[in-house]
Amino acid sequence: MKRTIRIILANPLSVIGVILIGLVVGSAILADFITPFPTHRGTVVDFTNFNQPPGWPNIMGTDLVGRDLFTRIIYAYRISLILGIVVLLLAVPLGVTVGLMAGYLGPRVRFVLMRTTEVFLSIPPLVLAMSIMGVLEPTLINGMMAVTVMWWPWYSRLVYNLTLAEREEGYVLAAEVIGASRFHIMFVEILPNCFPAILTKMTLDLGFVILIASSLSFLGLGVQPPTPDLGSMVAEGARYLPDSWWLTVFPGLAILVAVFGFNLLGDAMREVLGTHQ
Amino acid sequence: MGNVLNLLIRRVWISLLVLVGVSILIFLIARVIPGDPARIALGPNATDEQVIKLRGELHLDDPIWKQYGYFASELLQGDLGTSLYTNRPVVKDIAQFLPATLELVFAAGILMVLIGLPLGIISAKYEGRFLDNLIRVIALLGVSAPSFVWAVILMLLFAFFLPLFPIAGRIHTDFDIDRTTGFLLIDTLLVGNLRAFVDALWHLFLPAFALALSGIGQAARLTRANMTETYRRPYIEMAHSYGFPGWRVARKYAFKPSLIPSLTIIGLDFAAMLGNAFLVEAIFAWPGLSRYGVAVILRKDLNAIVGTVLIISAAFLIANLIVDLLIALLNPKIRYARRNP
Amino acid sequence: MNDLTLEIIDLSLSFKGLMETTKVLHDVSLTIGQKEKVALVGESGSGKSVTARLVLGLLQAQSKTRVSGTINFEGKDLAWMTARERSQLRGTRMSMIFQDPVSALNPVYRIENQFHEVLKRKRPTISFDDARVESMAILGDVNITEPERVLKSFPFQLSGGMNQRVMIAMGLINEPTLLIADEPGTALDVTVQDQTLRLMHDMVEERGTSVFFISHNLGVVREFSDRLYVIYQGRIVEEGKTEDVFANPKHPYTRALLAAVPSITSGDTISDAINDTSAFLAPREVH
Repeated sequence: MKRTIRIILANPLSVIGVILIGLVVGSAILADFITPFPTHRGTVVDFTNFNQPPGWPNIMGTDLVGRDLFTRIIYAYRISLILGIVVLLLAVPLGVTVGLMAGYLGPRVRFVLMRTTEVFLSIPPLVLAMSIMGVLEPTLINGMMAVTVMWWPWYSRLVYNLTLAEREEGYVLAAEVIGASRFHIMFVEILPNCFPAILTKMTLDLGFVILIASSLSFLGLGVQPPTPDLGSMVAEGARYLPDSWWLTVFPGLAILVAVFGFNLLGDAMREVLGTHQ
Repeated sequence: MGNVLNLLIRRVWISLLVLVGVSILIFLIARVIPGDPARIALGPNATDEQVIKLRGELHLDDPIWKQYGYFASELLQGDLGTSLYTNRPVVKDIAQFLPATLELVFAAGILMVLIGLPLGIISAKYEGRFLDNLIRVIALLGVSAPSFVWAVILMLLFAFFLPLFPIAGRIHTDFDIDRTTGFLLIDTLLVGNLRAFVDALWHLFLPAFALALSGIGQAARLTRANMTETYRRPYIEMAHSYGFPGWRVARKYAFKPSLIPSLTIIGLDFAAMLGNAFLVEAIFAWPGLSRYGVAVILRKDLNAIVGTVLIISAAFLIANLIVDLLIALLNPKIRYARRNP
Repeated sequence: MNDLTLEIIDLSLSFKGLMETTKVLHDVSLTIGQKEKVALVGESGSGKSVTARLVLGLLQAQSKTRVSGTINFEGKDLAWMTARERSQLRGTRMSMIFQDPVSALNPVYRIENQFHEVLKRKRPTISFDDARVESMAILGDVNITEPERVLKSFPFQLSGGMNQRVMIAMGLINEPTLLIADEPGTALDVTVQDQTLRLMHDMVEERGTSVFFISHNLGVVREFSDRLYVIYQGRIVEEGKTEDVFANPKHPYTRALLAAVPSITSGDTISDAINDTSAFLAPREVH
């Protein structure tokens, strides 16, 4: 473990990734102490200071009702990160269980589970989440549900493929020979061997969940105002291009920075842990 | 070639099965809606009689499997119901908006292959060197932002700051082109108007590039990953031991075998683009399915939602079929495999 | 001395790792005369395969390697050649046969295409049809009865032994002066390996090709080579005529190697089988 961390930190790109993630997570956690305008996360109106370009003290400018853009971005980070973590905490156990069962329990279970997985994967990711949001009210909780529903099949496919390979390994046969239960073999014998791949994918995915969630709210199908959200900030600001460019550029770059950070780290993990697909 | 045909038939069969699955899934999603679909459709001012009448028309009082039966049999006749938003058959709405979206997605797909694959090849050829690291960072940046962010950035840079490209739309309003196919690049050529064709291409470029960027990144990353793995295979060393020139080894020995796994991912990226097109269309005011799709979703127009998702999924399945066919044609192991019972 | 096909003098090689440098060859010296078949024998990891790759000039260009010493091929020092000149020797004056014939042939091209590629190394303008004619002839020499079918095939459609014959034919079709065989056919089963080795033996005898034969298997070496070198942890520990070494092994490591012959497989190392390995570091023995 220590060795793994040391190798990851020997690569300059992954160090940049760790720094970016640190900035994003740190600013999200410490948002209350960083910004001089913590109330701007909500419905605050300041018409003496609206639509201002970047300057001081509003380093990223202000929005159309005079709220500090930087403040709204770091509070949006907080919500994005919570959403990403919750989605993965729901989707990964579900997908992993389905994948293990499909890979280890007989052909009938496999047929039903993998065909179901395939159905979910046959609807373009964003479109599936959009159609779920279409029938639900656009709230944070429903947004998490919609993204979870579109996310679990990726894990069930990943773990299914890993299980197929692992079940032929000697240690699985050995466990079968001594009469271990199927539950024991799936979750105690096989699952730990899938951890490196699952962990790598989760790191990469935390970025991509943020990306997809921001896409949903960009389309007006996610978190609703006044809750700060990067996607809806871009959507709102896009109407005022090119004059009020900061309204779109900064929230857009904020998404890029967060996702890029997780991707850099995930890439380095993939290389070190040797988990190519 | 018999093998390829067999494979194709099997894939078509599986795709149809999956499409049935998709229709069930979408149908279920549309039916778990909290509240009464009939009341939502009619709006708050409808009387109870009107609601009961519409519930009857929509078979909402039958058991759910029977409802699906009605839905499926109408679907088989090419009927997706009427949109409550436009009051027109959903099929007609989709037929009007889909070509613009497909044109955008196809263009982006072409850019993805033409730019992404060569970047991946160069990156793998120079593994570990400066050029490789540069391409890797660019590719990673490409996949790290949603396409609406790229759309905004490209628009600011190349339409406003440097006015090289038009800001929005598919074609200049001066051109009045018959919409025979709905694909402007084809329609302008059909009427022989070359200037209109160039103008349409000009309008297409920025949105298509914004849409393609994450695909380009993905294709480059994947091609690189597959090729560097292929580079460790014995036949590459064999090729080097015979002194074949480096680029020849890259092309004939490393790229072609690794193209096969890359193609699968290109199929998946194509799917992602069908979804992401919604994001790009919104920024560039591209008159495709996006505005329609978002509008019907916000209005809870169930028939239109189901229809849109089904059509997009069908387009995705067809794209995947084409990819599978290409793989079968490229991979001699599939072409010449002994037939197993 | 210029009648030597290959002369290696004090060759050392180290790989630069992330933190430290690992030395894998220590002052290796060996010679191969014209028409001579010379074996380099050692366990896996002893440095025999990297020696072969250095002779081919495949490792010199890599940034992580440090090479010192001299490799003279037909009297010319490889170190003084440009990468391009070294690459011009490969496939024409020297060629190589690999351990696993199935994975060493390109899976997505037909055998005839791969022959054409190889022939173009010597005669860049040769046509596909001419290449076919020559390939047919040499496939006949390696006892392939249906050369037409084999040429039209992809590697995965042929058996391991068939692929091995194809590879031998490919290795010899340009009439190189030196053939490097890296554990040829170890991936095949023993009888097939034996057959193809006999075939290779006859082919090189007939053509007067020098062979640099790399193996962990003393049994195979005994039948095939005129002289042999034993390598242990990057150092040559014994050299001599094959029959002399077998009759009277002088170095402790060689003796251990000979004693272990029946039970050794490619994965095991001698050191695992014997507790005290300090004697293996004893100086070089020459017959």
